[in-house]
Amino acid sequence: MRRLLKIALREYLSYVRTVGFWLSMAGLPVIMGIAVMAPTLIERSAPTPKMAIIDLSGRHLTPVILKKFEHQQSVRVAKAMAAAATAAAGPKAGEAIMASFNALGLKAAEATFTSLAPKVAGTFKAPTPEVQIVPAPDTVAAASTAEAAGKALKPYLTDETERGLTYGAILTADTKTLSVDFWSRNIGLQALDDSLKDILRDEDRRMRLMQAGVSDALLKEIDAAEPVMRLRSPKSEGDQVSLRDRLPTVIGFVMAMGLWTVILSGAGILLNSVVEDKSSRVLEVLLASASTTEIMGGKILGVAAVTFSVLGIWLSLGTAMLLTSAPGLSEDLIAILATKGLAYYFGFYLIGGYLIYACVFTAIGAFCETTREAQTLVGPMMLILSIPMVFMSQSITHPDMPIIKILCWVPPFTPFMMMVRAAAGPTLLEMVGTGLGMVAFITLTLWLSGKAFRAGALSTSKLDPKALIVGMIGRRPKPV
Amino acid sequence: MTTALSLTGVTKRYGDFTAVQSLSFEVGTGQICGFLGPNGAGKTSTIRMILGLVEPTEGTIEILATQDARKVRERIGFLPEERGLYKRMTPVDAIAFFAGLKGISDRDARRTARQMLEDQGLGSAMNRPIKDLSKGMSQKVQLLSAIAHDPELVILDEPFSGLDPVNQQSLEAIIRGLAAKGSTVLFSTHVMQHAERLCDRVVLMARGRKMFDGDMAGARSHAPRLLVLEGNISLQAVQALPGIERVEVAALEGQDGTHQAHLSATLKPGANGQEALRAAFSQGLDLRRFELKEPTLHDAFIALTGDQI
Repeated sequence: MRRLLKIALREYLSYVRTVGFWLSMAGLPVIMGIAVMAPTLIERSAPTPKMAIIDLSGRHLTPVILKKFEHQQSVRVAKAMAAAATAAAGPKAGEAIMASFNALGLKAAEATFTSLAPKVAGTFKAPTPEVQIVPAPDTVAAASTAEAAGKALKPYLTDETERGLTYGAILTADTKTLSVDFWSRNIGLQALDDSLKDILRDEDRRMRLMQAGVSDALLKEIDAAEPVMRLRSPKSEGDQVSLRDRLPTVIGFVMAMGLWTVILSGAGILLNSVVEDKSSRVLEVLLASASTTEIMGGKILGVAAVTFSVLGIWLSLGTAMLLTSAPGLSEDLIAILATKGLAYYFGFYLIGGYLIYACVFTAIGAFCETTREAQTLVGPMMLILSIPMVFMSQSITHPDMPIIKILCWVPPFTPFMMMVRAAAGPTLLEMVGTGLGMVAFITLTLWLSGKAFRAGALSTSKLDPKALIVGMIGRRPKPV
Repeated sequence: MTTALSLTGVTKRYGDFTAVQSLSFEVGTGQICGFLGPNGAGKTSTIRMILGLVEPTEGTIEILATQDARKVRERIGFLPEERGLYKRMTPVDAIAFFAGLKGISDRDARRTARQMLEDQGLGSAMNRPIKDLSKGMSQKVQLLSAIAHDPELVILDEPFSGLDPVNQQSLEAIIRGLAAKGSTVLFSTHVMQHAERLCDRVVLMARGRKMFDGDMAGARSHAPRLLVLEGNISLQAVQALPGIERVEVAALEGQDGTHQAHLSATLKPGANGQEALRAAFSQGLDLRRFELKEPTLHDAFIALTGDQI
């Protein structure tokens, strides 16, 4: 045990003392920060797109479109306020803001926001509007046909100055049909066409119904009478399904993704470490000083300490950021992690998954003199490992899908698949059965990898997958 | 004398290939034993079996009074043929790490490491990363790593390979120092001069088989003794001297049956070179040089393994 710990300590220090370790330690938070901030920064830095409406339909549709876009912007502001309030004061605050908005409008939502999360409300910045409706340039407005209007509009869509436009909508109508020539600066900029289509369809329907004798009052009543949808589930904690009910599944998925990344990173570090020791002949010296179990165990433990240190620091940073920037949400997250036992499952599957892949990658490393050689064996392994990745994302919406349940029973996939299933409340049989299967598989992997590691460490022959298998089943390759 | 290492009928097979065949030899405590043989002789396989890294197919190995080398790992020092050190470690850290694996406390290991490095003239390099050291320096560090725990048995696989003459000399001194302190040393080498200068006994192997096991005199006795003759002499006259088995012409000058010749004559086993000298004088041979050359270990090595290489 003393030797194992000594090897583990050396392994740990050899990584912790490198600049690369600290760079990678700082790298993820920086990248995560950029990823979180980027959309907001891009949105704030980009000017609001400008759209001119050229109404040749004779139905005076511009004020209607303007009003609808204003409403859409109100919805976006309300949702942004709800998200900020959820982060600061919990999901109930967010739900209350949306309820106020739906019942009484944006002013009421703002009041609720200020009362429930005053600190955040004080610094809140509303999202910039999706589009700004501007008057059509004179030359365009003067056009009497869609063709002429389009021709006049084109120069403004390529103009980079203040006069330039991002979109132009030319509305025409015959007795039956409303038509829109929707012009945009870039082919990819088509985000508004669907919104515009919906607005015009509603307006067309309203006008036709009025022409058919339906009163304006009745139409307003019909528009306001949206069906009331209540989401319910036996698994929901309250009367209706809330964000709090959905959070565990999302957290389970995020944790499974984290688990996959951490385990594979650790196993990758271990593979490189063994390959380096093999190619520099240190492994043979170590074998004369310690047993295979001590060397393997020491390396696995040392790299586990490196990986878990990184994970621990990232989690601490993440928790600190969450507690300061989203105290309301963090309370719920902590409650879910504790009450649903997700934190314990994470610990169990992290250790189990790491042991499985660490053992396999260590055995592979012992047969390789270079990382290129190692990649020939790791490549197929990575293909196999991509299988749980494919199905993990499905588990958010379909946690009880048969294929996901089946994959939980495949020991190499158990850590990842059960992590996502854990949030959905699997049966006791599933929990215990897959857990025991994983433990049995770890034992088998440890045994086989130990044999392969010993055979590989002393082999100087070229990498051969057959040698790895032969090493695992007991016979050792011929030395040179 | 007690036995530090004893191999009895040791065979190692890898499938159809026999790396070592029925090998038996002993090394007494405190002896320096040379383990000699050409490439592919089975030296490294034997060393790995002695260290317990691989199991013999047949036979037994007793090392420091046990048949399981793993039990006495901490009393053994090992330097592998292909050197391996952690390149980013400093010499002090590397020596202390390997000594630590052998049961030495960290404090003692570091103190010993510093002392050893100072003694070997590496004091100024002790805190530099090994990757920055010269090849000779890092090989010295590797050797010090193998012996820092003061082992009872030291096994060195080709310790002199890659070293310059100065470092070879200092390595010889280290090996002598180990033996003087009572350690048993087994080392493999191709360089016969080192074995000749250092060893109390040698084991010669070729193609997995032991060709010789004994002391230096015994090894040399397997090689023929030579007489080197120079002068105005004929090949036939030398051939006629007593105890001469065969004569080879090394160089020839002159004409008319007499030559300024340089001849190499092999003595018959047990023949006396003095008798040949007396006979040469009595026959009035015109000699400028008459030298009896005792065989070297290199000659013995060639004689014993020549047809096996």
